[in-house]
Amino acid sequence: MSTVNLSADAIAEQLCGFLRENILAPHIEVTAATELTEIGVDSFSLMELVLFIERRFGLELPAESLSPENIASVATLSAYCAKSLNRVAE
Amino acid sequence: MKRVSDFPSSIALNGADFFLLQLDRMMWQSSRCRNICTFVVRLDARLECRELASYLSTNAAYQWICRLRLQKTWPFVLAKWVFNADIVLPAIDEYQGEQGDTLPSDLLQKPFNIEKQAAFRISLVQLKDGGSQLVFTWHHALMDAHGGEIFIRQLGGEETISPADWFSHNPVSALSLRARADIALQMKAFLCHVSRLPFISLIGKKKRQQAVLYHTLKFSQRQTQQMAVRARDQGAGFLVSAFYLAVTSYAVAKVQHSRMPLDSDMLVPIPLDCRKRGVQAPVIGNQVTFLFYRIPLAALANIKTCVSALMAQMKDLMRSENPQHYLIMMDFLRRVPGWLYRMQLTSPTKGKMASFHYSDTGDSLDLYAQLFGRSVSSVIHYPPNMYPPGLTFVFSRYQGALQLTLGYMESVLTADELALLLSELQLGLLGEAGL
Repeated sequence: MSTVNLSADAIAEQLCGFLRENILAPHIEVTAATELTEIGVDSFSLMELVLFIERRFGLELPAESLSPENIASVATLSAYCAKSLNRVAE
Repeated sequence: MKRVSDFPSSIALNGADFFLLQLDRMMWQSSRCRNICTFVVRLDARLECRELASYLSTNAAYQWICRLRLQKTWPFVLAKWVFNADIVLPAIDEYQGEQGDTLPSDLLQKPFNIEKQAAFRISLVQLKDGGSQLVFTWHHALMDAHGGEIFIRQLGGEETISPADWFSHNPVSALSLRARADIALQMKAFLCHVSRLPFISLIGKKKRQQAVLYHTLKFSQRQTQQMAVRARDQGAGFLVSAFYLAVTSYAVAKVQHSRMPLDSDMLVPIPLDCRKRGVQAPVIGNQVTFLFYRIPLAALANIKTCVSALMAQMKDLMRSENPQHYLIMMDFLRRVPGWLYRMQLTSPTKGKMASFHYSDTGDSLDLYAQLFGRSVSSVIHYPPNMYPPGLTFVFSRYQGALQLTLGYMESVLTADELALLLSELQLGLLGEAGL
């Protein structure tokens, strides 16, 4: 677990890796820019992603913080996580 | 796969299939009803029976599925579907209907003996407005709702399924027998705890033979968007389904309260699709596990507290890998004799099973734009309506508009209680401002 100065890109890489290994079918491609709904990521899969963030980065995301804008893609979610983590680190 | 001979001659039931088969047996013993999935697609233009038959006559998957029979097995031997090439395909029943809002009662009451009859059937209702309604029914031990949706799109010429996508090729668990036994024992202890009596139940005096009744609520796209906003206001965030479930729980509690003061929690198991996201496979075999919610009495005070309790429990259950463990337990129990399995299922709750059943099939119906070369104007799942508890809600969205189908047994709700339930559901989903 780390809460020190993780960049949004570094978080995005880990989130993409988690999605590929645990959520998505083998041939589904995901990048930071991919819209999550377009690749079939539903609310339960998002909850798994949220719990992964909690385990991996020690960051608990309250439901109200997960607005449609924040969960649109891995990039937007990572940016929100990076902002929150850096706020915690300060 | 293009030929019937390309399909396997037999296929074993997975853990979830066997679980749903046991629910079917319990349902049959208590109500003379079966655990049947019903899926209705309304076509804008008329589809003649002979044209439908012509489509089906060239579809190898249909011919294979309709010639499967559940084979009776000995205790500790896996139950399986066995293909018999000599079996005559089921006839397509044709009915005349009004507007397609109700299903012909003859259709709903048809016997469904999967040891002697096909586990998948098609009926055609010709509507007065010139359109046709296709009613697909299948035994829940064969496929789940999403598997059925994929298969039917393939039947209707709208989707090709690759050979690898028909069946699951991943074993449920690579764990040792001992490890799986330990998990099964832990799950059993969890289930006994979560389903401890008492809990809210609308189940009435048991009747040997009961009518299954349905009611559908349809909402507009605008109302559905309002609900998403309301879900966030109630603390559900992106989990709109948690909001739907909270509203349903609150509405059922209101009905119970109209009978007597509330004095217990609510028990709601909900199915969880185990498929990898981004694909629709596999088709055959139920790909579900369950989340078991026990909503405390105090949380039933309002929808917001109910949402909060559900969100907290969902996180806890997923953190402890409860759904994966239930899957392992279902797989582990496949060899248990049916009577013993059913005794294990019913004993913690003395046969009540749950306060109600609930599922949300999401947005997958949007893939139904065309079928059999015709435009689709509506598509909806009817609940398998497992009894007990005999009260099942299915939420789905079609073209961005929420639709809710309620299935219930006649002994569970009176007409006044149904009216109360429906008005509470609408009020809960839309709020006073949205009505």
